[in-house]
Amino acid sequence: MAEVIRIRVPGDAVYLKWVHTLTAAILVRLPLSGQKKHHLLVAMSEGFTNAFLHGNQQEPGYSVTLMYEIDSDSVQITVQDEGMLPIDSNIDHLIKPVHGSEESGRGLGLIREMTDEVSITHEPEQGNILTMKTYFNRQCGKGKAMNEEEAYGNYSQFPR
Amino acid sequence: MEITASSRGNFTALQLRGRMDLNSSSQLKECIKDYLSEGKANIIMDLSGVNFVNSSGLGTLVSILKDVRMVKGRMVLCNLAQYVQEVFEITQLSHIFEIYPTAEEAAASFADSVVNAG
Repeated sequence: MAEVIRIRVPGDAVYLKWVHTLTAAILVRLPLSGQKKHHLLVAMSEGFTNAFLHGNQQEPGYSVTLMYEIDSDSVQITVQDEGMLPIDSNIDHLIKPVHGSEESGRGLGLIREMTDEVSITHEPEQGNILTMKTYFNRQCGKGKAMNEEEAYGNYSQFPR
Repeated sequence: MEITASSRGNFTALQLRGRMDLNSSSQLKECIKDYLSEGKANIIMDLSGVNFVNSSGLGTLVSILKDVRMVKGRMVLCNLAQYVQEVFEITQLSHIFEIYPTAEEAAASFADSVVNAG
């Protein structure tokens, strides 16, 4: 049975570092390589930023709900905003080619590269739901494997 | 984000420390804007103290690079941690930015450009 941690966070940039720290504290005890933990931290940062910036349109009082589901072979992270505008649920349609000189538009592409499975759905009256899943034993698709200290840096001090 | 600056020769070296995300964007842009307005358009950004970068941080760097090139300046990056370098590679920005393994090599590249210009 999956262990589930669910938390509702105000949709505001000031909570970015807090979400990062929380995610790091949850991931540190999981049997993931340092590189995969770092990938999930980046993916979570992208998901949370998209949620309050684009989903919630930075509306004051709107929140973002984070859910971590830890299973025997994987961790699934869900980021749900309160955005009422329906979006295309085909992630390939949402990820557009980004040219070097463009300042934005790289977030979803990074999420796709840094997690094993990703999906986006829109629930009427609920908002957009980004689901990211990473398997403990699946090889990273990109980059070369890093050791835990290199990739996880300052977060290794969290209790295991 | 902590930014420490020192002027050396024909360039300004910036030592960055902390997270590079949406929250550090305006601080970094303002800092560079000040240097550019003073005519200091050759910049080395040492990222050895940057422990996290996401797409917002990358977007900030792209914006700064455009500003620097607009005034015919040059900006190079150096000392990227392995996990920061990986983000640049996945997004293909490693082809857009000049990236050097060390601060010494980044500094030498400016010396070379003076020699070449002469």
